Amino acid sequence: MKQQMKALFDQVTMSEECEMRIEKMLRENGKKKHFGVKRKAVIAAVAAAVLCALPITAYAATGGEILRFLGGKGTIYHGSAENGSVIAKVEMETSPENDLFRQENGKLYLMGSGGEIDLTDQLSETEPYIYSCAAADGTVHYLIIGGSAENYGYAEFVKDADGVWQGGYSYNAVGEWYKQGARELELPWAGMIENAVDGADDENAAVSATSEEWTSIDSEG
Amino acid sequence: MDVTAIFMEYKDSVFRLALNYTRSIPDAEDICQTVFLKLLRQPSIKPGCEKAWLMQVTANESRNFLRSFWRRNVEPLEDMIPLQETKDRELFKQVMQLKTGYRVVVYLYYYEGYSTEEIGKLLKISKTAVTTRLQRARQQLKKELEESGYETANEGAF
Repeated sequence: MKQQMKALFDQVTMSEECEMRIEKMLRENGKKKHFGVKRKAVIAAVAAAVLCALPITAYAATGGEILRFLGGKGTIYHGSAENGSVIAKVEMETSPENDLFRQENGKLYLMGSGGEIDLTDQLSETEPYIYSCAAADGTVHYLIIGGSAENYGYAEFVKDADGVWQGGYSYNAVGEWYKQGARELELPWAGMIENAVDGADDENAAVSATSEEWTSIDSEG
Repeated sequence: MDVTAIFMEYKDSVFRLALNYTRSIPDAEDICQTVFLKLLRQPSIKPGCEKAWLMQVTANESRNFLRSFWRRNVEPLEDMIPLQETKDRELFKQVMQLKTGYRVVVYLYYYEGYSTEEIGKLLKISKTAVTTRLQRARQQLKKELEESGYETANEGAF
């Protein structure tokens, strides 16, 4: 079996395109000798692992919508899961100017609207740090942040001027703090977030739970 | 630390492990990007431990991905990997149909050559759990491959 597996997986290699993309990223960063401007790459990398759950009725008709986040621009896409339920995702586009966080000397800073906020001693694996700010058009942005200064995660959710949740995205948000934050904000996707975070013991169960959640949202829509 | 050299040496190992978790090429590639970005941010790794570090981070990132509540809809994976022979395509299909926990263990054991103890440490499960998963995965593979007409009689190790 070892030989068969060897012969098989020898043929499974990273695509040239991906190889070039990552190599370029590494090369450019090496030249700059600092890591602070790589938010774009980070967000791009996690875009696939990130989900934005949306009220299907709000977006199904257009099939695409732009959401402005503090962390950049999110484009909403819709699709269908194998079981026929409707799903949505956010592709994030960000730029270095949108860097929300800065890590320095073991400390983590949030670039808040009123200046930098030192989060280092305020982060926890269980309790969320929630930051909110309002845009000129009445949209309110909420950041749920947790983990540690070295290994932090966050999620951003947006509520429009009418108080309707529009969507969100997350980065490295897998801790208890994320569940707690979703509950505190009373996000309509809190159940899904909880299932996803709890899915650690059985990855496949987490995916199944997601599909069921989507089905129920779809039927409500 | 020459990250580009490390990338060139281990990129495929990282990709394959991520692929075994995600069963999606775009998602596996995204995970690879995240992993090597983390490598850039890592101040230093003990020489000789680069692969172990990468595999550990890849496993963690892949698990994080599976916990997230977004999964892409993708084309069947076996149609996207240009495998040369029919028997390879059948074996790949069956391996990819194993449960995630079985699939990853099979890959690490048979392809990467890790011991059951090393796999246990990497995946944060007991050595016994690794052995059990391997055994069940082998049984399932043998059964499915025989049913599909794959010649397992000559494979010995099944």
